[in-house]
Amino acid sequence: MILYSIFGTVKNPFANIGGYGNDPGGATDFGLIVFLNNILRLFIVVAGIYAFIQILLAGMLFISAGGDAKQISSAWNKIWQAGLGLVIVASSFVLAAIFGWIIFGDPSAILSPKLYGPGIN
Amino acid sequence: MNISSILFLIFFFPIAATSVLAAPFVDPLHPTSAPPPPSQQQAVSVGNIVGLPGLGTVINDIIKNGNSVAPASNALASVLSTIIGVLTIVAGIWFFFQILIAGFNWISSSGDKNKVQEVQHKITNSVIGLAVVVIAYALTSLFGKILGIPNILDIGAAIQLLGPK
Repeated sequence: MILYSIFGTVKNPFANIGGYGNDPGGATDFGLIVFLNNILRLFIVVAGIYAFIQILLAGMLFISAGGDAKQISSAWNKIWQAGLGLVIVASSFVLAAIFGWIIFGDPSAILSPKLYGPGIN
Repeated sequence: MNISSILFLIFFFPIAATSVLAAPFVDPLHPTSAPPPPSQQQAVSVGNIVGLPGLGTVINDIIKNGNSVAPASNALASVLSTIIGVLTIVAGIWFFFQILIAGFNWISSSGDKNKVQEVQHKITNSVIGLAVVVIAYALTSLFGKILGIPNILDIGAAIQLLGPK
């Protein structure tokens, strides 16, 4: 192959990220899934910061409510919804496993995705 | 009938008819060369979706335990148990403050009958509420027994039953 002799093999520039598939040894992971995991972690952290800001705003509402029942109830709502959202964010991976079990009969169906190629035998 | 249609009938129609009739019957819904069944397909695992440590790494436990749903259902049960425990503690603290506030009101009522009655209602309601909180678990399991759901509080077993097969 002329093209191959021109370009040669492309070396993986990343040390800990594999090219495709995951290593049977488990040393390297599929590059895309590592990227996806990092994005998910970023989302979780952003959700935590957002919930913290919501609770802070609720505290400020309490301070400025001055006995106004409407504002107090809206501040409580803010706190409750921030807490509920945090619980859902934190347990989303567990929920993904349970939905994988309920829908596909395999708890790793969503959390450990597989690519299917043509037959090998 | 003009000459071209006659020519068509004589020459082309038999050819077209025989080619159509001689063609092997192909069922578009059931092709003869079926794709290989899923068991023979090459499945490439692309890695696990993992979040932050704690609840996010449940997939590792699932794979370690031979693809069973137990780690996930246990984690969900522990999350719900923690929430219920926190709510119980909050209820206890809230009860304490209600009683405290009622005591202050009783002190400052200075013999006003309406105020004293209000305070007594407040105390009664607080005690009833705390009793309901304490008894809620037993009450739920009792309702489960009555309604014929023996493990109404065992969410792990419920999730095991929910799966296919």
